[in-house]
Amino acid sequence: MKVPVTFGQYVPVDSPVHSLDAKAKMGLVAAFTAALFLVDGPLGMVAAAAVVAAAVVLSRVPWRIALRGIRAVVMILMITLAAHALRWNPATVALVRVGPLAVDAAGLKEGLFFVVRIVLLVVGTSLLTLTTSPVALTDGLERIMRPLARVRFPASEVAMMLTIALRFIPTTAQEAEKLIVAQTARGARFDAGGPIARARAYAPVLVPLFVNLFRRADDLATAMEARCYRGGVGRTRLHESRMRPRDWAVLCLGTLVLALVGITL
Amino acid sequence: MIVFEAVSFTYPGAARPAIADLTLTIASASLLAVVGANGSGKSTLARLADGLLVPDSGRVMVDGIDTADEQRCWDVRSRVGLVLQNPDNQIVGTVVEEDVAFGPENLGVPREELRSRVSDALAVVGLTGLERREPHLLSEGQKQRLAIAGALAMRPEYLVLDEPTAMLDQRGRTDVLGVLDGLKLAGRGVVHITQDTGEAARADLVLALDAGSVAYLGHPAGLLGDASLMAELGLEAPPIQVIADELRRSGFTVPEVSTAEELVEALWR
Ligand SMILES: Nc1ncnc2c1ncn2[C@@H]1O[C@H](COP(=O)(O)OP(=O)(O)OP(=O)(O)O)[C@@H](O)[C@H]1O
Ligand SMILES: [Mg+2]
Repeated sequence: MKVPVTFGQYVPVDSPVHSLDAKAKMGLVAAFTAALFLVDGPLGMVAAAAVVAAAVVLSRVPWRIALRGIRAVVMILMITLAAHALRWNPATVALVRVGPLAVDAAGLKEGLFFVVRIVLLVVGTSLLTLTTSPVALTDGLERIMRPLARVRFPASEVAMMLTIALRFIPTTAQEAEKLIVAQTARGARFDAGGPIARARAYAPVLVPLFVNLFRRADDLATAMEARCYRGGVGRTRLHESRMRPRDWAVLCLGTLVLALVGITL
Repeated sequence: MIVFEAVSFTYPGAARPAIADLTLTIASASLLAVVGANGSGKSTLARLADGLLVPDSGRVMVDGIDTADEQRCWDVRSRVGLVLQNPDNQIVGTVVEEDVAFGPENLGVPREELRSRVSDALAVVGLTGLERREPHLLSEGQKQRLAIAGALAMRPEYLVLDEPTAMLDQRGRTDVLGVLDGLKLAGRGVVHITQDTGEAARADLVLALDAGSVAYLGHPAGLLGDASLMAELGLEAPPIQVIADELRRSGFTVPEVSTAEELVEALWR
């Protein structure tokens, strides 16, 4: 019984996409999403697909992993396609007809257009988390959210929250593993019986896990106070990812290309 | 100077006080060891010194600042560094260097200085080279060293360490004790909470707590030489005491000693 200690989907390899600043990547993902919704012809979709394909190749993330995100949206894709392509008793000529149910050519085309749009959206945006470490992602997010502090949005605190979550996910997973081993040693079975019996077997693991989590939170709060944490005000940072000229160049050129694709195609 | 003036503290809902009528002075450039059985109030004392807990009666003054003064609580906490008992629950950063930087970042130390503070603190505890390591991949002893580095990087005037050697191997223990001696020589006040009476013997002053009250406060030899008091407090004598006792029983006249050097010195005379 092994609880994976690695988490998230970060693929730690060296690539030009990996070394791009997280903020630039977030900007490009935003521009890409906008372009994807502006595009209204098949040619535009082909161009967007080419952009995604080029990014995946550059990132050196294996295709199998890059496309993994699609699995989660298969249901949505099928429903989208069906909603557009299927007609009930249409007056027009249909491609296929099963009783009153018919597949309409124009609808099918439209449905495929939306399916491709969702697929590209999923693959394109997941490339951000695939190529950016969680730490860099949190830092980038904090920097991007910082202007929101003016409208009293606690940007720095939210980033701290994410950091702490990142820090304690592996620790908690290790602890869960320890508890599972301990309960197994006492004769607990986690692999026997139906789903309900199996779920019930986890109760003796989850209860102490949560109790410990609260104790940990208490200790951590004390330790943070002892180390003078008082929110984001007046805090300096050891690392602050800076946008280098290269990041700006990629961000600007990329946005320009995406804007052209979105507007003209 | 950290001064405890007749301090009492009871946790909310607890039947008896965790610290009762404690008076104590922690001087700069000195090493104070605190010993006592489980639940005798050692960790509570540490939190009171840092202003994380405020006395119910009496007061704690850090360099003349009352820890109960909410306006100045950050002054107190930046002066008094605290290393808690469980290292795993006090590591905030996702990688080693970020964690060491956490305290100074909160103090608003400029970035160039942050760098040097982090590398200095890591060098002192012997973790240089592990800057980018994730904390959950460290051994327990390395986590303990990291927790100490995190407190050192704040450059506090006083450092309170709650059982900092509990999970260390012999080498790590010697290293940490060396760090504490170094801090003392650099003029800092060090409070070392420990279960190990051998470690306590190295201090200038030892405080033994019993159910929140002072059972002994004075030179280590006075406590370590008093076998009945040690037993009463549930403390185990360090090996050197056992040897001294054996020698006495065999007819040698051995004065109260607390370290091997003192014993050798006494036997030479
Ligand atoms: N958060 C709390 N709430 C209520 N009571 C507490 C709390 N923390 C400690 N106590 C009680 O206060 C007393 C002193 O506890 P403290 O943690 O200071 O002991 P200690 O000397 O550090 O023990 P140990 O050697 O186990 O670390 C104990 O009786 C303990 O049960
Ligand atoms: Mg304790």
